[in-house]
Amino acid sequence: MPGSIRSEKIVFVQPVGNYHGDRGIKNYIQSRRTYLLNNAEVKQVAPVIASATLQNTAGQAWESPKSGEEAWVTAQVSAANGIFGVHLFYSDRLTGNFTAINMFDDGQHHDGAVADGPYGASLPGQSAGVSDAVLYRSSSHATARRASYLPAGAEHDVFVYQVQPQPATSVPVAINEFHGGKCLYRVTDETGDYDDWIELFNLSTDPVDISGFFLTDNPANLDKFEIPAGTVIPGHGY
Amino acid sequence: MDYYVYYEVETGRMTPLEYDGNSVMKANAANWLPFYNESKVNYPLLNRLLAVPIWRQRYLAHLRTIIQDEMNPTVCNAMLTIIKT
Repeated sequence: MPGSIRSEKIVFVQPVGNYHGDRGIKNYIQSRRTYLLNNAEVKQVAPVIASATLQNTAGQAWESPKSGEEAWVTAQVSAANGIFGVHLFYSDRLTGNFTAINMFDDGQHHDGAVADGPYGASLPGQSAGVSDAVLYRSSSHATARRASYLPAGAEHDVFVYQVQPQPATSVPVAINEFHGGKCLYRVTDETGDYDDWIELFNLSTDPVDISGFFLTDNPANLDKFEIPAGTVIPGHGY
Repeated sequence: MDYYVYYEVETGRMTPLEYDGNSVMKANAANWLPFYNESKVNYPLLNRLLAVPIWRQRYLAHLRTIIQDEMNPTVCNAMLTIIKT
């Protein structure tokens, strides 16, 4: 009842018409299920979205696109009564509204040949670190437009992919601090030694991958120290 | 089932808040149409939304999912047994 505060729970001993106890509730739900399945509109055959795949621009399935790069989505759709539209919904967050775009089976959207089943569409590029939520809707039948979703529980259930940072070309990273072992005011490093060290600061809001860059204190040896693979400085991080 | 609708300004999304879910467990409700009360104007949400084909089909799509999944006896009966114990 609205407007009041009380606790409620399922009471199994309460008679529910001719149904009693938990067996009664089970029988009731299955009776209800049978009734609904026999409803003329409910039992209409909806289209089937058998699978969906996301590809980055290199054509790699389920590989995260990089910042600003589009991602291609394909979905395998079939329907006994013909397909009258396949839509792709996406958002850059898990709450809020989705943007809907059309998917195509015209052979021009990473969808194979014309009218061969798979539908394709391009998702616009996003910022690095963004999780994109994606869901699909297919409709069929000329007048009824029966609908199906993938995932079936969309939009509460969605596909999610992450956008990776671009490899840095113009690197927004600065030497923020440095220390030479022969400085007047000597400071120990993280291991308690007085070695030379520098601190790097990422000036941008996006993560920057500095793997493969080099450090040196010798102009004659510019490749003296290679920064290890997987070294990423977070946005505005050190 | 009765429900309120809560509009969340921050996300622009409407969320149903159900209540009195147990009251649908009446013997005479077992044969309610899935569009029960849709023709009554004092049920504005049903009356207006189910009259729009795309919303009607969206409702049907999710109803089919509930029937096939949550109301599936294997899933549903196991859940009720857990609740009882």
